[in-house]
Amino acid sequence: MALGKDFIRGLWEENPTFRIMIGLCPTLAVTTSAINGLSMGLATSFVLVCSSALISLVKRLIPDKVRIPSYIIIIATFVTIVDLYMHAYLPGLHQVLGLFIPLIVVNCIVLGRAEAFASKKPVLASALDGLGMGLGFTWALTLLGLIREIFGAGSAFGFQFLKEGTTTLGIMSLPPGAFITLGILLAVMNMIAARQKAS
Amino acid sequence: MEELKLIVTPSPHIRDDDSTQSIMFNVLVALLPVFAAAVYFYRLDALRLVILSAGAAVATEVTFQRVRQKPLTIWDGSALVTGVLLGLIVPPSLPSWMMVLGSVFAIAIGKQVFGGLGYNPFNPALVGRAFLTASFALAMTVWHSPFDAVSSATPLALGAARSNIPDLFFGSVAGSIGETSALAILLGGIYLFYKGTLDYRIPLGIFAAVVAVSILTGQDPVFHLLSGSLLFGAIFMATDLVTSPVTNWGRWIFGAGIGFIIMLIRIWGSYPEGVTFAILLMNAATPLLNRWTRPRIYGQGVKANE
Amino acid sequence: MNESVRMVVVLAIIAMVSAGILAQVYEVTSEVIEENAARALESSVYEVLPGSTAVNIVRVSPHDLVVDEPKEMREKEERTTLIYEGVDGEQIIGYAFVGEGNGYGGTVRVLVGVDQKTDQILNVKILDHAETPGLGSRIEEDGFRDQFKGKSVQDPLQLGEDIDSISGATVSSRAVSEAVRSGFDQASAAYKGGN
Repeated sequence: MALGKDFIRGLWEENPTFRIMIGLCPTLAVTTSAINGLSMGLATSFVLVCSSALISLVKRLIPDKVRIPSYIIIIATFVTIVDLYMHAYLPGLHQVLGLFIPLIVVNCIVLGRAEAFASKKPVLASALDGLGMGLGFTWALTLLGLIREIFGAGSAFGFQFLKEGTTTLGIMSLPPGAFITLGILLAVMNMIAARQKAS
Repeated sequence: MEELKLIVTPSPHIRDDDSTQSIMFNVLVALLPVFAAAVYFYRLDALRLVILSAGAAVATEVTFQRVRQKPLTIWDGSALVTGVLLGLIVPPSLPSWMMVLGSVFAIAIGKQVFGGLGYNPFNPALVGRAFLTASFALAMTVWHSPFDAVSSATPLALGAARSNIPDLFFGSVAGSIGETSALAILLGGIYLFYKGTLDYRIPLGIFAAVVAVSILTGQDPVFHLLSGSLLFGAIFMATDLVTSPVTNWGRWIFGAGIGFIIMLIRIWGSYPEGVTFAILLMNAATPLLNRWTRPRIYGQGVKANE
Repeated sequence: MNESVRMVVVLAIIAMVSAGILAQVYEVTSEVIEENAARALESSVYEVLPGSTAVNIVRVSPHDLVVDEPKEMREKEERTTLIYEGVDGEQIIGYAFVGEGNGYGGTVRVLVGVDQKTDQILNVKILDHAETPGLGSRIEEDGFRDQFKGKSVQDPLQLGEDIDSISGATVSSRAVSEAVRSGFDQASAAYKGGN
């Protein structure tokens, strides 16, 4: 079914982080732990689904010349809603993710999908595309966050499995560690994709 | 039968494997005085760290190349040299497992992922050291004085007023195991120069910049020249043929840049020592320097009406 | 309608709808947000003033003027010292203040609890910091923070004198001692003067 394809695409084949390589700024910045990565991914997914659906719904009403400002306002509205709700009901997480929640507005993935897909395709397809891309982004961030957390802090999803005070690989908690881990993951993903193509 | 490939490239032309081997051999010989000094001052720690680092480096290269199904290049000696160099620039009390990790990282990420010798943009030993410094900040900043294991501060941390020049020269100060003895390093440098492996321009460029900045800021130039990783870095690290410029002018600028950044970090930066990052930063500039200082081919670039 | 007018109208409508929705969401969430913030600080105050069961926020300004100008009022707000009084029923346990110091990676904020009777520091809690993990972040360790216990406003609270820095993390350690010291003078004067 074509709709199914719209959803699956974002999960692997056109995974925003590992294949298209967009939206890398929050990817590198917030993945200091698995929970952080997961939360950021889910917040972005929410924005993606809602904004893609809404934009697709009103696409005929918006004149072409004011397309981008209109999309940005719509996206920013959803991001602000997420920001306010997180601040109220998930304050710890909100503090950790900090500046990067508002930055979802300029996350390439969101505006990119709005432009490339939602502005042309029907509502359900757009929503599914947004969901697929969002979830693809989410598992990429969670994986990156998990790796960095295990090696950098000795815990996984907040569960500390190494004794407090054991020496960990400090670099993993810092930006260089993010870059290096992402680089290695990309190499692995490329290998897997090449093998898939060969078979 | 192997295809005959005709490859046309502009000069300078890269030499083949044998030459790499002889260069690496010379470097190892030049490192003998340094290694001897390291063992003299730090005994078992020196042996442990250098052997582990060298072994891990070679093992990593073999593993990486086997997994990637590429021909083995350990015989050119470059992995061995990287390993030995890394072993000499770490503190004496560094745990063995950290040493191994650093060495693996230096070869795998600092060299092999780029395509092996000749393709790496950064000095692999320094990549390993930077990795260790960022990962294990505490273990990499714990020093002790030579002979006994009493923890102490390095001369750079203590400052020029509390350091003694003869000690700095002969090496009985706290520091990384290979970096403390200026005498041993200079002996190695002279040997390399005599063998034609060392281009004097890079070390001299570094020294000149360091002396200039010290005098301008009212510090003791001799102290700065003799302390920390400066001498070791200038002679053995900055001069790495792959990651330093090819042209004469390029080399002068490269050296001066390194010296300048070292002083910048030492005086105004938060780290007491700046050699590792200074060299890595200038490594990044090497392609640019190569391009800027490319020798003009006679006759080219002249407009028709001139 | 012609194109330019249409563009303006569409954008205006989108903006208004967006603003309307956000105003609603803001109303709903702002109460909760404020409550959370207060409660978070409260729990920190309980940590540095052990035994307290409630917190009073005392705002003390350097001069208690009658202000007419809004500009003067804003300046007064900025110079106001915020003191957190920890109480247990009728009994005042002590007061707490926030101090700031310049650390390696940014501002370090600490919450210091002072005993009401002895005027000595009961405990110090690190609220915010951006120091190097594994090195500067060790300012959160008990071993370092315990040094501040028992100090009074007369103590120098300087590295090398009565406070030992964490080896390899001089800047971070200094940030904390600075934060405690600078905040202490101000808060102590404000609390005694105001009361």
